[in-house]
Amino acid sequence: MIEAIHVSIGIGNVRKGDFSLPEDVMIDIFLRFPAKKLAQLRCVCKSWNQIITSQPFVESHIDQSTTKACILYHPYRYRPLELGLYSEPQEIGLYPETKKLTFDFETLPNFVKLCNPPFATKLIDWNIIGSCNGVLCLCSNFDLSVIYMWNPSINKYMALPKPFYQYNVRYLGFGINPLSGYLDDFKVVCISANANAEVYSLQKNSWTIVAEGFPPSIDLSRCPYDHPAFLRGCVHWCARVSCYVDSKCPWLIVSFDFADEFFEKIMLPDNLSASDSNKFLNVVDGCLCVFAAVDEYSAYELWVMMDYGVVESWTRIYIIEKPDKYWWPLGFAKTGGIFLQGVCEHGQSTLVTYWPDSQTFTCTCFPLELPHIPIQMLTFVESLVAPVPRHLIGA
Amino acid sequence: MSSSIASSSSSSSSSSKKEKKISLKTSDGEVFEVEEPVAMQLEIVRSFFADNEDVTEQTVMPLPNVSTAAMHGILEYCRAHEEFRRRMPEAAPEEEVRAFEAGYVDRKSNEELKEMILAANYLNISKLLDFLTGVAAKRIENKSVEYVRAFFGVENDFTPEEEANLRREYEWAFEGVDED
Repeated sequence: MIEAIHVSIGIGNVRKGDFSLPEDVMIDIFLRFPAKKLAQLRCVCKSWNQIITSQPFVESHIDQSTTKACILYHPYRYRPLELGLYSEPQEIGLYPETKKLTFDFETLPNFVKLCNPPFATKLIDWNIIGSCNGVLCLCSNFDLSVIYMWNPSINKYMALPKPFYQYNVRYLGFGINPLSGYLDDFKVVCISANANAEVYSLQKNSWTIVAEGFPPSIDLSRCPYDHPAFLRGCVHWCARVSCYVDSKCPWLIVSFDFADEFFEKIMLPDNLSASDSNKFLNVVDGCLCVFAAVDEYSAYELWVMMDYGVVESWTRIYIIEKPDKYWWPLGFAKTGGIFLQGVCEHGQSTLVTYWPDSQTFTCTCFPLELPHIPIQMLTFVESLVAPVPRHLIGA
Repeated sequence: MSSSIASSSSSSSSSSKKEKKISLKTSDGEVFEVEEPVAMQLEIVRSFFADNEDVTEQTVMPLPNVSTAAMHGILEYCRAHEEFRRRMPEAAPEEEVRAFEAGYVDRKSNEELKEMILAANYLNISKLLDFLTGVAAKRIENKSVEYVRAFFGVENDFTPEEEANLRREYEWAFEGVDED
């Protein structure tokens, strides 16, 4: 009777009698641990190893993982890049103005520096293309055909084979096929300079040409701080219609559907589409959104597409005004703030949080040593998902 | 069924009336007379009385998977929580609950803890089970693989080679583990 009440997510072929405690109780205990501890527990015995690596367990584990901001920043070309996970502080204004802001990971309780990936030496300068189910997709900034998928929580990675148009790669997008039902059906789409497109599937471990190619007469945004936004099984980029007078080329969004592998255009409202300044794509509360620079980059408007795919649903939510230039939006804080990169009172470029309700700014996190060093920020959730083709796991 | 449910609600409203007791018999034959609201925290007991029309107040419910020792521990927790519940919402006993729980598990050995987890699982007391599995997780948090095996009484069925391979694969995960 009791057995029926407990819903077991265990796998059928685990031998009975291995546990001093029932399997569902052990799963309850396992789910409380981060990936690192679970890697140790895999070494306890075969059945534990089997449970912790089973798909139902991996799915339950990701469900209870907390989402953090993942931050990559590029301090200097000649120094290694820094990658870290940032947890938002519970209270606003963690660092009082009087405290000297020195850059030291150890003194920043909300910032955990990640180890460099095992393949770090193969990338001179890298870039995060996306973050999905705990897996980061990274590429070399000097050679976009050098692409890796890496799960930092379990330190597993996959070096992707070179795309067909490897000397011509212009844009990349990372995501997952939402229809397969698996957490590891990762895909990368690659667009070459002459509008050819191809898709890499992790499970096939190969590239396939997208027959229709990239929509003609469209230029993807070349904004260096922008990154593609993944939402509803599609990766999205800001783009411009090609035209002769650069400043008049209308803006739009291009998406690529990872399930059915086709491109689509999403229109922006007329005034947004016509303004020349940069657009930063992001996702807020499950909606696609655009930060559009206005007033010579001293302010950004936040536009949200409330109803996905419906052009009429684009709504301007608010304007962020900061009395200086050289700042730009990075992403959304869980506590309602907006992360920006900009200059604080101490004159350094840093991570700034804007609070829309009070229209105030706080210097939330680490200051960088020089202004205008780009920070990249994505949302990250710790997971046990291995970015390795299933048929190669355990082989 | 209706009689037991009806009397449980009336007994809490009129405290002057003699409190109804439920008889629970552990594996080693001891019979515990448990106040009804406390006994009803044991889901297995609640559903036994809810599902069986023919049980009476005199029915002694056998619990063959629970030892007397574990039962003492279970009842201590459930009685304390019944007490906290009764005082709600006037008092905000959050800190008090934590203090009680901390003191409660400090007195339990690893063996007692495991026995209580088994009993709480069998009796289906989700709140207690959740609390106890959390305590177990805390106790092995920074411990070595060998310690964890001993803690849970799990036998290592890897060959030395298999284990060495796994450990090599996850070498980075073994930093900062406490000495046994």
